[in-house]
Amino acid sequence: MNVASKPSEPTLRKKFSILIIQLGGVDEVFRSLMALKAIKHLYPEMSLHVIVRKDVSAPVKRIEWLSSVIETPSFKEGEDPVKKVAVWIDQVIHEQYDILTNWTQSNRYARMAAITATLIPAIIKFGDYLREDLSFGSYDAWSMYRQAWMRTPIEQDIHVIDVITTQLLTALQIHAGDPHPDASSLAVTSKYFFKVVPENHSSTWLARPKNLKWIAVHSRSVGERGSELVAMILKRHPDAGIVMVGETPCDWDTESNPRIINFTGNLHFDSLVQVLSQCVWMISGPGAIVDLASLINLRVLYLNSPQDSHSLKWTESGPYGNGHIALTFGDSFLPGVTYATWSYFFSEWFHKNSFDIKTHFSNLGFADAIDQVQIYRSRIRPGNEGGGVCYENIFATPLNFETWMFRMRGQMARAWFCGWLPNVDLEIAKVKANPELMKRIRVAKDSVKVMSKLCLEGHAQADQLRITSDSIKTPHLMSIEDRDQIEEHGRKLLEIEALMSRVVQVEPELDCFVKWYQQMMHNATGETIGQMAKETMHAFELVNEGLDLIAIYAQKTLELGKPKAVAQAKVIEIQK
Amino acid sequence: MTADIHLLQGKIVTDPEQRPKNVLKLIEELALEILNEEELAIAASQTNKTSAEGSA
Repeated sequence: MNVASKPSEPTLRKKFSILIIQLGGVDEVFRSLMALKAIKHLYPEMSLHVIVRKDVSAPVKRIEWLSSVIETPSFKEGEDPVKKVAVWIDQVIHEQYDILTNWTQSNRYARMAAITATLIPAIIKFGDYLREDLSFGSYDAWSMYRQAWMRTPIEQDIHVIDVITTQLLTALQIHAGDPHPDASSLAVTSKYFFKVVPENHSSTWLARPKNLKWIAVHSRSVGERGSELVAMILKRHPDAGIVMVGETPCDWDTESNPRIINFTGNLHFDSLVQVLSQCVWMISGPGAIVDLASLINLRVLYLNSPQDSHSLKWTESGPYGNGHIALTFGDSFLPGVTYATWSYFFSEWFHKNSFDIKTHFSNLGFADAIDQVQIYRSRIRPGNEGGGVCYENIFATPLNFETWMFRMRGQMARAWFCGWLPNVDLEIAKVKANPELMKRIRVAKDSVKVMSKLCLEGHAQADQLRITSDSIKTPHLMSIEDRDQIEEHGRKLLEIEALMSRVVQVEPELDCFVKWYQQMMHNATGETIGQMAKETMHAFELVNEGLDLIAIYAQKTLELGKPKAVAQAKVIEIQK
Repeated sequence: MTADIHLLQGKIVTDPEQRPKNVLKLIEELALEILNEEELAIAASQTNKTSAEGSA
């Protein structure tokens, strides 16, 4: 991840003590570390404290720039768990935190993390927490965004690392001041990300043939047919060696080939980092090892599960950084196609894109198989495109409406939470217009208009509700007319919400707006009818802003398909 | 467009020293969550062990 500095005058920044609650799996821990490194780079004076579960704390303890690492308590037999947790909380709050943020994403640990976030005091809080009725709530916009669009099947194009980084960076800009002016553009990822502990290094690895280029293969996530892939690599690349990694022992025949080292099932974290940092590629399916590889700048060939081939959800947690390659298969993992893809990018430095990947597939005899796979290349967008990682399909496939909306949702979030929009004309210029997309946009445009009207009506009703409520001197005593009016506005708002859901039945891609509206209303904190009405107005305003954006993009995209007058040809007379 | 600062600034706590009203209940809930997680982890490791022995 590249962190660009903000060209600004040095400002007097406050020095904050920041607590990160990350009780998710080790994959989430790695992603949080990536975000924290970016924060530390821009705000070096902040002290960062992290709470993690005991079984995933090893990597965090290898980070020297963290002020403290706090593990969740574990219980011995006969111990009173409640007392132990109470004592633990007391120890944690010994340090006073200015900012607390809960970055735990996985559903499995969400409740544990939300309770912890509620119990630990801090001056400013972010993330999810547990409300008095023991239901979940979110303290801030990005956390609501995660609940509305990232914990649901809705597809959007902002990576989780970019979400948490932006959340905390924005918070620091608001509460502490602008980032360090000397922080230049710097790559956060590095093979030296973790503190080196040589005594835990593997002697087998130290004795490996040094003339080979080593490729790490995560055998469990690649699956049984991964052995065919390994055989192809070894057969065609005499300069390559394979090192197999992962917690689950692998039973492929690896003994007979000296160019294979099998470390599955018995590698210490320090040794794993040592091994990966000396590899040139890693081939893996989804898993924490992909996030580790991203942290230490190891290029990844990421194999999506075939069951996820119709979704772009993987882009929220795929490998982070420039140049990773992601594959999605139609039905099942195809070793030949995987090999062909990997070998094309492995030899990129040699062929320098002098021929395209389709030619490469043909040369290897896989020309027919190329239709069964989608290949994406990761790229860190420059600031003027919105920043963050994106995955570009290397085949210029025609854009469908779902993918168009996928990109739109990210732009909405950038507009809502960053107050930033890319140049719409430049964005649209990248869209490959096709009749199917145009047709779908035309249909959806009507639904967008209807939903926009509903938002305006909802906003007006909420405003009326606010005016009526504000005119009442005490909420405990009101006239029957006032009560009836309030009930009427409330009833109309419910009708509008029901109508919005009906629009979604016609145009399912607009469900994101209903989800976002519901999330905002769920987190409304007003204590009076008037305050609640104001928050309802605000929710309708934001939804309508998003709809406006869709309408603008829709119009501009449709213009791409309109016939344009051809410039009159200049006739040059040939003089005899 | 301008960023929605109100939504982005997080929850500003006026009295950070003040504990939640249901602090005891929350501590009990947290203890339960951690206990459940420990039990799940033990069960998972035993399942792995059994399947490994079975396959051996």
